[in-house]
Amino acid sequence: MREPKHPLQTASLVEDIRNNHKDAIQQIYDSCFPIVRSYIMMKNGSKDDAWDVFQDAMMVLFKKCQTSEFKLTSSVCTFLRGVSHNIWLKKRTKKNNSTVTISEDQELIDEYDLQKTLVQVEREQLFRSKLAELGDRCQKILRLFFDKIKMVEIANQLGYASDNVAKKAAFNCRKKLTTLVQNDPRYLELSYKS
Amino acid sequence: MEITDTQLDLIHRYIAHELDEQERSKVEQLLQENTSFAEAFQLEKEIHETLSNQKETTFLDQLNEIHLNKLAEETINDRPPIDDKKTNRRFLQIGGAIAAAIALFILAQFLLPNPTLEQIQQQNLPVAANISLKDKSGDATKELELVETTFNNKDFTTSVQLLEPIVTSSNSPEQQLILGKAYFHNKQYEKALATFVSISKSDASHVYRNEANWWMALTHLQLGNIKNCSFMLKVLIQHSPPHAKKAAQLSKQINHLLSEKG
Repeated sequence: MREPKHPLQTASLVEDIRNNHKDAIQQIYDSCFPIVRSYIMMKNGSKDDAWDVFQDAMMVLFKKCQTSEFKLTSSVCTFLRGVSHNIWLKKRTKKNNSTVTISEDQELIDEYDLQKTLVQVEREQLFRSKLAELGDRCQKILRLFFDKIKMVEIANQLGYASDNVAKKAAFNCRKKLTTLVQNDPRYLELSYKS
Repeated sequence: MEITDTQLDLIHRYIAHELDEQERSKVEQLLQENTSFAEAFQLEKEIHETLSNQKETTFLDQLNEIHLNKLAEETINDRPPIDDKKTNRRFLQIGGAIAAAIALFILAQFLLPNPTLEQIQQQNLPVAANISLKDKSGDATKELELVETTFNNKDFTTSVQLLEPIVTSSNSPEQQLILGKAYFHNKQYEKALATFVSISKSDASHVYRNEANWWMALTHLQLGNIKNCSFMLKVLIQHSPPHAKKAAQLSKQINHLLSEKG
């Protein structure tokens, strides 16, 4: 697997990711996703697996970029490939319920203290996926609520009789969401590891 | 020990900075004394922080959009070129083979006829499902109640007449979606398409946008825009788990039409 011609390793790249610059995300996607995809497919993963892994790895990168002490010591693609390797090992270990051989990439993962961030990314992913499992109406009200839209506006948009009625509906939906999270086997697993 | 609804409400309001000094002290005391409360507090706080993190949501949305565009490009590039000059020349050189192929094709058509566009359109014309515009308390404005009644009675002309002014003033994606469906069931496909496109391009939540994309695919199908329908289905298969299965089924049905049309 070859690295892109121009290693993406600059401090300004970290700054661009931190500030959500779409051009930077596009550049990383164009340069690094093919590398991660080839790697995952080489390890018997599917294209969909590769995309899932890459998304998680990008979230790890994004989180790392939010911290002031983070510096890319290798190219961003090397970083993402290392993280992806780790994510893939984790997924495979869970799937096969067996131990896996840790390769030289493990060193890279330890270097960035990624395990903790990975658990956080997975927990957040669990919350998002559970939100998507809620009924249509609950999803709508919660998305608006978490977008910090005022209850009066939510009531108006969704046709609730008043902001109090909308508030009550939002409370019930949040309760449902929490129950869904707690009842998912991944929750206990991730809580235990964290 | 589970926490009560009152305690959960306190947690929610604490996180949202809606408590007065006295209530805040009560929460802080409970955090010290009640383990279940403290655990529930941590989880609620984490869920709240995750789902209201706009920066992360924007990042994920942008990444998904980039990936979506790439998939769209690949979809277009994957389509086999049909009827170009090179292909024709090559076909002429192997006249005998093409004659045999045509004969086989006709035979296959006879034995296993592919459904026509009209048949696929008919099969995928959804029956209008009942809608509900009431909130959980069963309340709705009189106008919306009327829309609900007319829509559920399949009087789509009246639904459209009632909804058009409401949608213009409210800008609610839910009501826009119902207006689009009313246009669709009323066979006003161009207007339906414009409505679904508008939702899909809006900053409404992805739930509305995915639903609009599904209806956009159905509308393209009814309009005979097979390529556009196919494109929307590909997007749904990749990005909307609730629609992926039915999108894949429809995609399978229309694939032969695409190869025929090029």
